Amino acid sequence: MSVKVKVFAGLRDLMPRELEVDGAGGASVSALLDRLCARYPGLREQIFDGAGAIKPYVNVLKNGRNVAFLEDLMTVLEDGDIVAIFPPVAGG
Amino acid sequence: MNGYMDKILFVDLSKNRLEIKPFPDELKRNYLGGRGLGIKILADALDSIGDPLDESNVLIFATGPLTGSGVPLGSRYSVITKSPLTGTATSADSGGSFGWKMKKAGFDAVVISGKAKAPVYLYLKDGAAELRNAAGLWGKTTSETTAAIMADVGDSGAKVACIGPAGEKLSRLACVMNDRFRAAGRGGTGAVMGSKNLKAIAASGDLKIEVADPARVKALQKALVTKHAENGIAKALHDYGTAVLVNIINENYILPTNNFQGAHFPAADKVSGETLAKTILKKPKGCHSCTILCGRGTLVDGVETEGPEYETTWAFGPDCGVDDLMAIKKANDLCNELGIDTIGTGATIACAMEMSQRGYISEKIKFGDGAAVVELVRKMGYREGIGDEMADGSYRFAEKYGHSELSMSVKRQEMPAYDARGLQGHGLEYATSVRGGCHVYGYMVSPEVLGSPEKLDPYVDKDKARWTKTFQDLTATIDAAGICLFSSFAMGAPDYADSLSAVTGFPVDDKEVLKIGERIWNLQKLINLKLGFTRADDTLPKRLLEEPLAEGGPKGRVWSRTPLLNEYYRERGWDIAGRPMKAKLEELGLEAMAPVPFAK
Repeated sequence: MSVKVKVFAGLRDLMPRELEVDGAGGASVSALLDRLCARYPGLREQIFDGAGAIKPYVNVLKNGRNVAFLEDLMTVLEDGDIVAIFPPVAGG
Repeated sequence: MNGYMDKILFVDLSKNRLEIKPFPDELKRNYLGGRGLGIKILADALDSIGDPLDESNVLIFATGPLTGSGVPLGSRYSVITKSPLTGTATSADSGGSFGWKMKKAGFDAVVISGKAKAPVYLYLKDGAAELRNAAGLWGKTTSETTAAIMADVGDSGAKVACIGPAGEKLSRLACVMNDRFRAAGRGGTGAVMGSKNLKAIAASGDLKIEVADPARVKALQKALVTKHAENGIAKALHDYGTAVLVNIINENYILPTNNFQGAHFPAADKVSGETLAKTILKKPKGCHSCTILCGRGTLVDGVETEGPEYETTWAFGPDCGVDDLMAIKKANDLCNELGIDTIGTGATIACAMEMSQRGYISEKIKFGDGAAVVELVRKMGYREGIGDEMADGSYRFAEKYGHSELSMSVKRQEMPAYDARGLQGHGLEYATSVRGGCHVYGYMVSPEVLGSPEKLDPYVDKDKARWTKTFQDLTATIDAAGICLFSSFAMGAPDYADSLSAVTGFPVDDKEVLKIGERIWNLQKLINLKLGFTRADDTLPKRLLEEPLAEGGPKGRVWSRTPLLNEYYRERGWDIAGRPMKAKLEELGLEAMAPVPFAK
């Protein structure tokens, strides 16, 4: 079992648009993002600020819910979850 | 005052009379220009206006002090009128270069009344104006009209705002198109233009737009460009256009599909800004003085046009169950040529599809059929067959068959591409919008989804009334100032105050910026109250109040009207019926427009 990660916009220049991450179930969003950042150069600068928090306009969703309104980086993932990561985007 | 050309042109088409008047300083200070000026003129004329498509209606084209001022993104103009779609006061905003050129031609605003005996177009040049015969233009598409007028005036730099066949045929979804690809889209402003036999307005000229403090404007340019670059949002808009929203809205499970029957579209990425960038994008395009370039110059079969934007992509795509970007592109291009609003048109087709699905109409129109979508756009623009009934929008169409509940509209104007069941604040914005269902009168998606200027939980009510009011007021000021709403992804009230002060020379602070917007908002509200709108109209379709979303984060949620609305009215200083109270009207200098009976 694993967690599915989907990325969008400019993040697709850094890593595959979709991938399965084995062993992420039961771990935190923080642990998942750390693994991804270790694997894909440049990703950390896109997602985190200098203090290690998710940047203001970056949005990380777990099954359609922004983790900012769950336990943020400490949100625990389960097998089968879908994590969507967005760099700053806007429109309308 | 600097930043203005100090000329408002009044055109009485019935009497073939043109009169130029100065722009009173008091109006500039209280309403700035653009939407604010137009709403004030509309309010003053309201008692003499009957049906919106009657010659008694007035139609105002108005720029703001920041239009063409050199402040980045200062490109906008507004079209203001009594809407034939909603029956409310409305303003529709557009970019491109037309607004800038109107000022270079010597005019801040044009106020049109009456009806010409035969088709005409209005030509503005170097501070003068004339009406010209447009009989030969009637029936032409917007690109044909634009090219013909540029040739007629002998100026390849002329800018044209015009209607297409949809406006001529009085479709209540008809828009005003300028610079070929830019639309003052919502509310049926194109139908009002058509009802007056006015095919177009063209502008030529190179008069100087004076600013009070050129050095300060230059410094602001630099500072604002830096701000836009810093937050990363400008880059996403530049690289992927507004349709970069398709995926984030979809992943939040708030992308309306199949006429709001669902809120998640599995094939969303096929029609996303990312896919557009990889397939048909030729180059990013910008309006006058834009530093973002969110427009999409697109190339299909060797023909270069622009778009589609996000809302258009959604309307002809997921809302109609269509995952074919080329079909969306064709529908978009056809709308531009025929001069019909893409949001209203797509949402009306989605409504017809659901009517068909449920057997309420005999026509077989299936969700997912991109070719049918394109053909229906054509039929609506020319009022052919079922398109004739659909050309007046989803509400009138669905109501005719006894099922107005399937119109996903607020005050008869179709809601755009966000499901309010998962966005309590944005739902409040839809419900209370003084021009009907719309996303650009206070874009609460920004804090509730995008995290700008900060992240607000989209599912909770708390503080949403205050935020919605602030966004609505600030947006009204932005529209009145003549600057693009996308400036607000980097600018706050103090930045607008700085810009207005530098351009006009009249000191404005951040509190005044919000107060001007609040005045405009309340005046629009007072107009609507006078026209008979009540609290009952500040609502969303039954579906969003009673049918919970089925999946994803917002699963099980509906839009919670009563607590949000009550808090919003309190926040605004209105009574429980939604009428501005005496203290608020006095604070804003609007006592003369008090509703009857006077709310205390």
